[in-house]
Amino acid sequence: MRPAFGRLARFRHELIGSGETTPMACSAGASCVAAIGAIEMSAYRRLEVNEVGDVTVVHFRDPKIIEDLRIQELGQELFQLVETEKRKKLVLNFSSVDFLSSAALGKLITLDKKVKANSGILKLCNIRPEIYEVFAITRLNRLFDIRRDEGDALAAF
Amino acid sequence: MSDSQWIWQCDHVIPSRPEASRRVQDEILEQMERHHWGEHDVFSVRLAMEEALINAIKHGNHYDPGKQVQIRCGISEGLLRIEIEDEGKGFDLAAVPDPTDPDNLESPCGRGIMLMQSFMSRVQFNEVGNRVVLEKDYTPPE
Repeated sequence: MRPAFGRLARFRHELIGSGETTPMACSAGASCVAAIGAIEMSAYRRLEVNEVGDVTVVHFRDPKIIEDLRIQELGQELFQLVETEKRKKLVLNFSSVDFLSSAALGKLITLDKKVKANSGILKLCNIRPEIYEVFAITRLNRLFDIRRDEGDALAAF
Repeated sequence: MSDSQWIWQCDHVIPSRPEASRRVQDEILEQMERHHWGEHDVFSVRLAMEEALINAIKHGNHYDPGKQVQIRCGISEGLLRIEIEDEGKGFDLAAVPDPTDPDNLESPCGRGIMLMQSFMSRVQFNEVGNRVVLEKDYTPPE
């Protein structure tokens, strides 16, 4: 089983491998698995992380990416995906984002550097026109590979 | 600001905390919508205001709890004007590097002023650099 979330994956392996609980054998197996799933889902406060094949697709929980603390947390979670979880193919889906500040752009730039340093590929998609205007004005549309939607982004790998 | 030209105005002094500016921003944006400013104008002002306030709080006042930020806003039929002043030492606008220069493109910071200038109709700093006036002309619906 491919480790999904570092220490959480090791917890899952230990729990199942101990023989004391398995998804099928444990009387509360469904609860165990559900609990693990809930823990995994809440491991990222700012992101929703899913996999489509070997591509990691990220959605943002905050429609407005503005406050310094949130941007710091968001940055740390994105960096964790690349540096700790070693995700090589990453799509950031901005469909839930209706506003972001320049500080958020800074985190994306740093993420891009980390992805490249780890020989990975990063694509952005579903950016609404006003936010795309921000990327265009700052010329960051030349730095990032921006696709119209998630399907286009996934097909481009 | 001449009071007679505005159909709505506000004048606030806030501490140097981003969350303190949120309420004032929401108030201004709500008034824009109430006075039928279009979606793009509201987005533009939201962005420029956010950048200017973060600059004032973070770079101007260094989050110093002993320093404050003054925010004044006026809305008329065709104009929105925001004045933001911090208690910092100011900065040299001419020394701010161009973030679109290829050498600076991958720098994680330095885009706030450019975004303010791009999304507002006019941006004017005082000589010291601790006060900025942002103006947005009303965009008629198509």
